[in-house]
Amino acid sequence: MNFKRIQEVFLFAFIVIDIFLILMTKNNNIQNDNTASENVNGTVIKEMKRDNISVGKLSDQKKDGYYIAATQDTDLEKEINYLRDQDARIDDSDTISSTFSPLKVDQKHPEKTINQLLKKPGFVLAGTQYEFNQVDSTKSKLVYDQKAIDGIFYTSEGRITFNLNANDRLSGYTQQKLNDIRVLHEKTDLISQERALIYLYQYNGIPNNSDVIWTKLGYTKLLHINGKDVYIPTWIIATKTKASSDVQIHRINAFTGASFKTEQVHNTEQSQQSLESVNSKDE
Amino acid sequence: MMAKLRRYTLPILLGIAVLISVVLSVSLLTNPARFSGRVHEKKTTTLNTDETARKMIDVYSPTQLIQNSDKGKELLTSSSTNLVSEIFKTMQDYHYSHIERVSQGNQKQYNQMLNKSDSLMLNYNNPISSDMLAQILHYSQFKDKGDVKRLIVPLKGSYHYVYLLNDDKYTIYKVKVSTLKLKTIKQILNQKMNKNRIELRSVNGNPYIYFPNQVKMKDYGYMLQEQTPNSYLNRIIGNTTAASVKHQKDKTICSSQNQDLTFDNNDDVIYNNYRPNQKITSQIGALKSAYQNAVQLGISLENTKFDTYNPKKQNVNYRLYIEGFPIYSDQQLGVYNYRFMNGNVERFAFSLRDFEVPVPTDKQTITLPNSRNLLIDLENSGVNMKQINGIRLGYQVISDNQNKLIVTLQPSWFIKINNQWINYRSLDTQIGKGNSNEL
Repeated sequence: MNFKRIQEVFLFAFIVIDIFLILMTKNNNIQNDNTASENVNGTVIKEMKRDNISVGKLSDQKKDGYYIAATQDTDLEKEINYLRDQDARIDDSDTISSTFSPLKVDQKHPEKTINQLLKKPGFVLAGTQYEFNQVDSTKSKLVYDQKAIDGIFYTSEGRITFNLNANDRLSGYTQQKLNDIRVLHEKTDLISQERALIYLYQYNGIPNNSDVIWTKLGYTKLLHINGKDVYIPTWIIATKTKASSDVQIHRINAFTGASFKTEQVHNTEQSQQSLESVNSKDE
Repeated sequence: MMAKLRRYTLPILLGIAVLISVVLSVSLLTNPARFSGRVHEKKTTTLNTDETARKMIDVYSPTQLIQNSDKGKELLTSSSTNLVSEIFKTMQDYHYSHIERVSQGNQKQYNQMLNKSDSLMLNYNNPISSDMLAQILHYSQFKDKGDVKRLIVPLKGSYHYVYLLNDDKYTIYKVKVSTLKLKTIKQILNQKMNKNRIELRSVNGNPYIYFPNQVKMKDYGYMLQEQTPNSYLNRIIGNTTAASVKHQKDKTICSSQNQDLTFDNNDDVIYNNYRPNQKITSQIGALKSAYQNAVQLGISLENTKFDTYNPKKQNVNYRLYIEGFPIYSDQQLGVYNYRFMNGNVERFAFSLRDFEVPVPTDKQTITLPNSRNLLIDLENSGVNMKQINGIRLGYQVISDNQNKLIVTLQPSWFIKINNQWINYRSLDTQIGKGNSNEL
């Protein structure tokens, strides 16, 4: 066997070894992911699969968040003068409704054009405070949510909805705005996305044969007190049964894992010193 | 030329193949996942239980952070981050390698250490057993080093030590650290925070914190949560039909064979367990038992810190802390007590109410007098200065007249007289009536 032949044999052997090693590395990574989720919450996830609930890929990463105070901006009369080239009105629920001559937007990604427009002074109020919300947007409506201290609000009281007309042109919007946003309590650890979903499942919030369409972390209103609102980090989970197209939105308190609705605290009425549960606008 | 290239193709390809296999082998061998299968398992299980129970380190971390820099000493607080806990938590990841006592009984050397330039000082309100530090900081050599009142972390790059100090006997231990996370610490210190200039002065040989300037603190609002007596009855005594219930004028006593629970009209609860699982003979025993029982009883430990330990009574006190300052109320609200009595009874005191959600206030900032004016005020209101054994900043719980589940926390100075903390605003009326929150 000449030297060239030996080299060929060795090359072949090393290529085989490399393929084997690449497969091993891949395997190791997958196994690693599995051990983490399996040990912590694996049994419940398996149970969910058995109930024919598809959850998609879940993250077990933990973030932190704040209790935040905010008030709905009800002093829009003055601010509305700041808007340019549009016909803007304010309705009873402190919402600005505005129309303007239709504007051309990017065909595939209209949000790209809107992102630029938001930076333009006089287009909307505090445009740079809003961020695109993909999950709630449709072909004719583009939703933008107001930014919180370290995240994003998920409430109609801090939202702009842009309307696209039949010709896919931007023709107007409605806006609500939150003011006086401040931290009420020091940063606290939150539960992971995976844990939130497991809690919801354990509260029987996800029926059998359904899909979890999306989950997101946002600030939603926990309670209303003395004319101000308290917002907390919330895992917002959208589910849909396989049989119907109705989407259900669930809220899980990301501090405690509890399912919740917004509470109205009566502080001024002496006769009634109780907490009353009301359906929130977020639901 | 081409022929030359063709001649080298095979050796080059072979070289590349060998190199790839070497790189992959090394990455596989050094991948921690390969070795940590078991460790990983253990870690994730603890994580899981941590979600329901507050971690021990949160309760037993220091409560006060002081930075000594070229600007002098400053008390650091923040309304958005628990600075002292964050810094203390970085200490969990240090690699400690050697501990030695550098001095004892030498006040001069002790004072020099307190004034160590470019350092952080993490203080406990009450000295804590070094055995607890051994447990929460994962370094067994901390054991049997007495009590620790302060930890000093030098911030200069060349230092790789942490110092454990106790004012009693002026003890200093020096601990070698090989992985001081200076970068993380500096990131924490770079946040927006309040800095109050302070001086460490000595009274009867003990250091105390003197504020040369007025102190500005903001008030807080909270919505409380009230648990029902039944929830505790079910959890502790179990089947409530087996318990005998006595209703008295201002309280209800429920007792079974080995335990009784007393609920008074102010939502305060006392629980006696006449058959404790273990005998408590040391501070570390009491601290562990206090924590484990609080978790088992379902007491909320959110924002709660270890506050005091009384070795004579074997009494452990936890208290709610906001921005690193303790809160005081006339009742049990915000305070949890554990006591091991007469060698065979465990007594717990807590409130049915706990602090659930912070709520917005009218954004009031209150300016408190500096230490000098405070002392003058105290003297003018007839306080015997020799009777004072502590002065600290804190929050007074003020109930809302209309809703008993809403409270305001108002900043104030608190003075310790006869083992009771009294709000300096109400000194004239309250001397002798304060609540020590001890059993």
